[in-house]
Amino acid sequence: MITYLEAIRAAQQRALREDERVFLYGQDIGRFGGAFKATKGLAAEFPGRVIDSPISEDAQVGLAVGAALEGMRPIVEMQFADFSSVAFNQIINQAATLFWRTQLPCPIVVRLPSGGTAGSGPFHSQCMESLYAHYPGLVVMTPATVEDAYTLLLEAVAIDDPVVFCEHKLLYYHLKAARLPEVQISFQRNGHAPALTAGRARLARAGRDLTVVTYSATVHEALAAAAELSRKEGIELEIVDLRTVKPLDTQTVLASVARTGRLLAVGESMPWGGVTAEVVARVASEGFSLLDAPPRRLNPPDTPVPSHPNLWHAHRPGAESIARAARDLLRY
Amino acid sequence: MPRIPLLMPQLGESIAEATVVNIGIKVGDTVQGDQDIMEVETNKAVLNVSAPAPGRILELNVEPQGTYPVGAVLGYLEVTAADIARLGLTAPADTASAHRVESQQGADGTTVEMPETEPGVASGSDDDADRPHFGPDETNTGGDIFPISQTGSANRGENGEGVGLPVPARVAGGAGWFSPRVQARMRELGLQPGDLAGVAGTGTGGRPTVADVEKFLAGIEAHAPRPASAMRLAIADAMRRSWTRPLATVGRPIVLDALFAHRATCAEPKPGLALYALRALALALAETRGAAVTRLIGGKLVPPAALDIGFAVEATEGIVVPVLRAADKSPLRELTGRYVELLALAQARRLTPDDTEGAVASVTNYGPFGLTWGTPIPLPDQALILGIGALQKAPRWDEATAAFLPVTQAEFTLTIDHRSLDGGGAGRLLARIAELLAKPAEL
Repeated sequence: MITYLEAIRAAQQRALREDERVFLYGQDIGRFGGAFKATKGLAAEFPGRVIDSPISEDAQVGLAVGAALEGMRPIVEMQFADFSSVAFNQIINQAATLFWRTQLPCPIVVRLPSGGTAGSGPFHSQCMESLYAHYPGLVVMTPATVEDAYTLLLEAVAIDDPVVFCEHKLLYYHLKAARLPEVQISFQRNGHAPALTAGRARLARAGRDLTVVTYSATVHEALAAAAELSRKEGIELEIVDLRTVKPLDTQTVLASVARTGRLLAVGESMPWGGVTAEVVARVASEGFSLLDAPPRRLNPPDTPVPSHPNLWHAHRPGAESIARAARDLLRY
Repeated sequence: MPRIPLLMPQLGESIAEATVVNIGIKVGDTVQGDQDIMEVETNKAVLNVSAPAPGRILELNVEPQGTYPVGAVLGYLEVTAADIARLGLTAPADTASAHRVESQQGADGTTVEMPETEPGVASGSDDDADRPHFGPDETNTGGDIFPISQTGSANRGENGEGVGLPVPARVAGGAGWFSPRVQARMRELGLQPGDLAGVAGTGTGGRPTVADVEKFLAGIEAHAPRPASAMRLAIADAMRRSWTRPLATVGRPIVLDALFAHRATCAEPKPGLALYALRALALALAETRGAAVTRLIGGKLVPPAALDIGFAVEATEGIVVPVLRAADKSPLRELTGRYVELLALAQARRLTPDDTEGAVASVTNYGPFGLTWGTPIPLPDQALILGIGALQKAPRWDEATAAFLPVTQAEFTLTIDHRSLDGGGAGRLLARIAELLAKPAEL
């Protein structure tokens, strides 16, 4: 069995092995192996290519952008997603706009350990995909499965755009798969390159009554809600796992809503103008005549992430709140 | 002292709201039990709202001519605890005057929220207190009378039957509401709401779902339907559009002996009864400058530009209505030639739009089918149609000879758009047509 975290480590290992331009840069990722052990053993295996940074996210990403300009393909590990806001200027002003301003690509990957655990509080729990998706020039990935954690991280390295890679901390040790998928990937991109799966959503569960569009750890909450609703009330939810929130696979979402007539977009980041708002806006404007009920979204309330475990549990969308929202929509 | 709300009572089976027309009391007044305190008007009648107990009016939340739903809080009455007990009234849990939203128990114990009468003052309802609030508050839709969740479980009993308040007239999800998805399917299939009148809906509030529509159509397939002709569809659409107006029909018999005597003296081709009637209609309209065919559009009265009048001809698969231009300006003899031409074209299906557009009224003769009386529907762009029934021999009382004399008559019916014309105008028009047809030589 391989965990979500091990898949991330395996992807980095493969990237380091197959492309000499790749290096890893982050706090405590060298000998220590990273706060979550995502780089355990890699410094020894690839001497000089797994580098400890000072405690300055701004400098980390700045260095990465500079390295990318020199032809390297750095993977930056943020210790917690929340700290990336210190590097905000480097990410959204420097990295995201570089190609638009200069025609020079900026192939960096910024890995964000996202989401909270009970008690982690407002500075160690954020989900920032909505924030980064707002900026043109960035690709934002939100893998929900062990396979996607592996595949999408490899693709993130292969893509020439700056990628914000949102890994969910709750899935690190508890989500397991039997094995890693076979992934054909070409980092050199000489001649033909296999088509990427980034930007394509996945149908996590087929259903007849209502489409739940979500991503990352919330996919598993939605699957739990779906199992419960199916068993107890005969309601069948269809669950679309976006995999990448930017670019967003509108076609798959609309095709699903065409089948079910109802949409519930669920996300763990703040409600205001986020991924779920974007999904609802697109479905309302492009899929109006597919709808039997208003398109709705479910997010935490518009507050910072609470510290107390009870409040934290109540804050994030879970199987129960997803089921309740689904039932409400079905009654419309 | 405790206070009780004054509620808009349930005024009738299908009544959802009423308008306050008279407020008989003011804040501070003392009232008796069962005293009438205000008058409200529904679409059926004016009714009284009475005080449920003796007491003092503490608050009034209504305005004259304001419309409030059944169950709305109209004000508050201060009553004694003894009276509350004696009369079995319930005092609200929250008596803070800042909160104007009341909860009322539905029959199955679920709370049903009343509308806010003061904007921006939200109450903490029971529902919100123990449920963590996720996402934006989507139950408050501002302009609607009731929150969306109302339409679902909140006012349904154990077996799904409606309890508590009747379904408010304006709520989405009632039986006549089609979701965008259903509407899109209807558009795809060329269905009108009227086509689905026979569909028993399984959706919320009894409304049809896409599955209901598909099932209904599959049922129709069993009857081996065949496509309708373009003409049939055009007539169907025209009649449907015409029917969106309030049409009224009046009728009277007209004696036609003089007319047929005149016709016998005419050279070929002889004018038919419909043409006589058309000419008489044109002259009668001209005398009143087209009053009866003046249309009401967007608050303006639009008189006719010319008295172009059509006449209905049965063709295969439907009816065509060629038009005689300025029928008030040509005598009958001249109209006859043109009439015969148009009739031939109609039967050969060679009419052009120039031949059929722009009439202000039409004439239709269904007498040859044996029909004595009918309520024809005007074409959608016309305000009036004159129908002619079968000829009948009838006895007519003659005062001079004090006897019944036989006459030949037909029932003439006039269907009008009642927005722009009333019975009096229609009646006078028919009377004038009768007079004109009694002097056929002058037509």
